[in-house]
Amino acid sequence: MLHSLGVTVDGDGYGLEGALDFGARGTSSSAGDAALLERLAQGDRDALRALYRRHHVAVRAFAARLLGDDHAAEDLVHDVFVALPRAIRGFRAEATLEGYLIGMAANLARRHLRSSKRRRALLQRVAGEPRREVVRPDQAAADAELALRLIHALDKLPHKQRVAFVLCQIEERDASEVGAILGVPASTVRARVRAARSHLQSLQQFRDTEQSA
Amino acid sequence: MTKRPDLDFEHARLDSASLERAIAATRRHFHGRAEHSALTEERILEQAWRAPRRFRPLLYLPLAAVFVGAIAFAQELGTLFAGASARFLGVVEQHEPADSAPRQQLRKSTRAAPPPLAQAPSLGASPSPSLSVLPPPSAARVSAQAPRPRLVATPASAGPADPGLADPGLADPGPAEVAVDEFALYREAHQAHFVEHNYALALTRWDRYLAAARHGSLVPEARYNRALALYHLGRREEASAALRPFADGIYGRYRRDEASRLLESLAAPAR
Repeated sequence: MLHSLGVTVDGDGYGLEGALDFGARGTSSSAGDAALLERLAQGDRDALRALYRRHHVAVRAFAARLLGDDHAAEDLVHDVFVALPRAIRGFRAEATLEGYLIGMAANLARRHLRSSKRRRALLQRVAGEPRREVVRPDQAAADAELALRLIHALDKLPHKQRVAFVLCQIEERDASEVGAILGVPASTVRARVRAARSHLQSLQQFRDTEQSA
Repeated sequence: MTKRPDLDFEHARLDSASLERAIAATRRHFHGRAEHSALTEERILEQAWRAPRRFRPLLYLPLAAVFVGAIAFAQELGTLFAGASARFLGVVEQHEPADSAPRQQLRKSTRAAPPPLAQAPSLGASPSPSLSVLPPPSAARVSAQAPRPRLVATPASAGPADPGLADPGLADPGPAEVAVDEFALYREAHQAHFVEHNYALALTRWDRYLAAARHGSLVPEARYNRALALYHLGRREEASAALRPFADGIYGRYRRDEASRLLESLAAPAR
């Protein structure tokens, strides 16, 4: 199943090295980032613009996958990049800027996550979103539905497990990279992902609150 | 019944393959690209170099002192006022007939929740709206915190004569709109639409919700569902007009893809 997506599972089964890429990763962009960060430190607006254009897709993807809400994700992306000019003092050259931005997003996400969860819970309690409507035949519609179910299930997880799960499983980053992003050992990341998977697989609510096909 | 393999969540435990499918679907669905990213870029550039707000305790200390003092004063004043009110009400009750129990009950609730219920007698005198005090929300209700009775003014008529043609944004609920239990209205509409599949009734109720809760927290959902009701009723032009804002991204990605597909199906010649 996973191999059909071009994804391979690594040794411990929790870090995934993916063939799906969604942004500039690795060292090829590091030199450009460093130069832009230097300019940013001097108050260069164009540098911030360039950094945004380089990394906004990756940050927004992470934000949306973590929050399960496009609007909240957009606000989180905004918060991250607005904070960047002041936050770069804490940036260390050995880290990747994308990882640093993702780490910022993970730290700033709590407030957004609270409001997103409240909104989802409200919709679920009031009536529930319509599940099966007139024209939803294609892959995108099925994806949207599956994603919504997973996001509801993720709402039951503790924040740290959720972040680790999103980074390792959905974003397919390996545990050591996620450890560097979150500032924790890779073993801790693996333990969080393991706990998250176990938690998700045991959730009765995942079935109870959603109607199957 | 044959189930679609990608939606098979019937098992009590979510098996690993189902979880992997959901993960892959989430990855594809939230891909990180957004049409409005340029707007966000402009907002960021505008706000990134604004001076950060600094916490200045010396500035806030006098304000906090004034605030605390005001609270204490208000409490003291409230005690005095409550005492005076009790004395006054005691005098009135001595002169009331014995069958005035409802009024006394109302007075009790007035003390419990002074601002909204204090208006009840004057509004109740008007014949057009029917007033009711809803019971506190049950466990299933939305607001689990601080449940309290809500004063609801329901318009005498259920909605406009032809609700599909009425613009809910322009519909004037009139003076009857005091405070609306928008969630109850939403539930009613949802019941008609997704449970009873009575789309004409649902349309009326979505319109009623939109007229009563024009700044409600579920307005986008209600507008989309109203468009669906129009679609089901075969009112193609109105459905197209109602779906267009979603397809155009006025509500971001919310229902954008679904609305686009519905518009495509509406544009196709009817078979």
